[in-house]
Amino acid sequence: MKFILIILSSVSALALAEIPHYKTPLVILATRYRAIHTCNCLYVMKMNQDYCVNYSKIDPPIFTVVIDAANKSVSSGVSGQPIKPVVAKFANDRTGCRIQND
Amino acid sequence: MKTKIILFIASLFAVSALVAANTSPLTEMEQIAFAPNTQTDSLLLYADGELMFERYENGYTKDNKHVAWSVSKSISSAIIGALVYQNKLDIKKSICDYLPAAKEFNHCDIRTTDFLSWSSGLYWNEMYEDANSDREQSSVGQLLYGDGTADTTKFMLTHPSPNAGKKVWNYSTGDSTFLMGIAKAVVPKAEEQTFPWKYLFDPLEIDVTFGQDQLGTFGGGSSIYIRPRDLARIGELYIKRGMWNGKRIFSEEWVDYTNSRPETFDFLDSASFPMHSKRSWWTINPKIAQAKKIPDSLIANGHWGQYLVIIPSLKMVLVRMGNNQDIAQEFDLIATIEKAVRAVEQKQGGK
Repeated sequence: MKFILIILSSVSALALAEIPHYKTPLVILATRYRAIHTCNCLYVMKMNQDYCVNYSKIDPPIFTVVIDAANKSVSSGVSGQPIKPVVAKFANDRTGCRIQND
Repeated sequence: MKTKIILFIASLFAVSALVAANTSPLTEMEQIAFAPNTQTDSLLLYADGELMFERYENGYTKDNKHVAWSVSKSISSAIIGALVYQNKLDIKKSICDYLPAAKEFNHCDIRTTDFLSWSSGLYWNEMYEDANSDREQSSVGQLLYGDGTADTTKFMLTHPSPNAGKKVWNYSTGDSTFLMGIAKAVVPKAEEQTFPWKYLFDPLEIDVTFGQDQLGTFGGGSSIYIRPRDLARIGELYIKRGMWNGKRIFSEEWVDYTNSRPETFDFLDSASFPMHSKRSWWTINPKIAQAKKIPDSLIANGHWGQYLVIIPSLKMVLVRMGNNQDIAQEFDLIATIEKAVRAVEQKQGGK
């Protein structure tokens, strides 16, 4: 019985080991998505603000966008939550926008 | 009286001309592709290198680049083809020959050809759109906006091979992104930031934006922005079998390799695959193609309705870019291709 349990637990441990457990939380994934796609839409695709803010929308609609046209950068946060916004900034025509490191 | 009769006959001709115009394959193609709420941003059709049809909507013009999403995968494979032609790598060799870090992760059994065929065998969860799924555990989301952003190549290497080394077909943005990690490793340091332009985009005289991870590795799975006319040029390059203005970009063998089915793609009888896999490209499921009389096709296919369709036997290139995210009704790709093929056949004299 003990032997079977050991086999079972090692099989399930193996199965678990096969699937990586990612660490970046949804809030970061979503704000980075929102910032970089709004930024590329504005400064690479050269579409207008309304179009780009709509293009990069995410469900649920809690991820905000602030456009800094003078610096060609876009920041995204979460409405009602005091998290540090993620910033994407246009680098150049060849590589487009890039997430700014802290 | 005589004038009235002439006018009547003339109007009959005008009406029949109008009817003929409305039922021409080209008009039908346009009506299908730009049906209300289809969100087609651009549609371009070329035959024999000549532009037969071009229309932009939703604020786009010929000068706007459009996000290519997974069409980037096929373009990345063209870049690998160009590097192979330059003798910079052999796709049959182990990735460990080019990326020593792959040894640490025991992935020496994987070759570049496996990545080109979406068959690396590395664990991958391509789900990302379902709001009810665990979006934090989407491999694509983490590759582009999470754990992978610092170094996409190393991120891929940290994934296990759950099938104990067996190569299985599994459509993966990670596999295609990894191609640009290999490319970066095989070019001289001075070319790490320029090789896509030096070997593909500049010879074709096209202006492309290609996003990168924080290490400067290109996002080969999804990060290309390109104008529809420039995307069509990539299509023409395959029709010209790798030659452009007298300069060879990749070999004819590369075109044939691209156009072959990965041996791992064994969903041939499944109705859930309207497209079948080629190497980093697609083709229409042969049963559907036969029913619609569409000749052999090579297709690049991206998220939210981005398509580059090449029909080599007709020297035909079709580009459709769009934004399907807000629509309930999918853009009808097959019907659009079918009408485009009829229009090209008509132009070429019923070949």
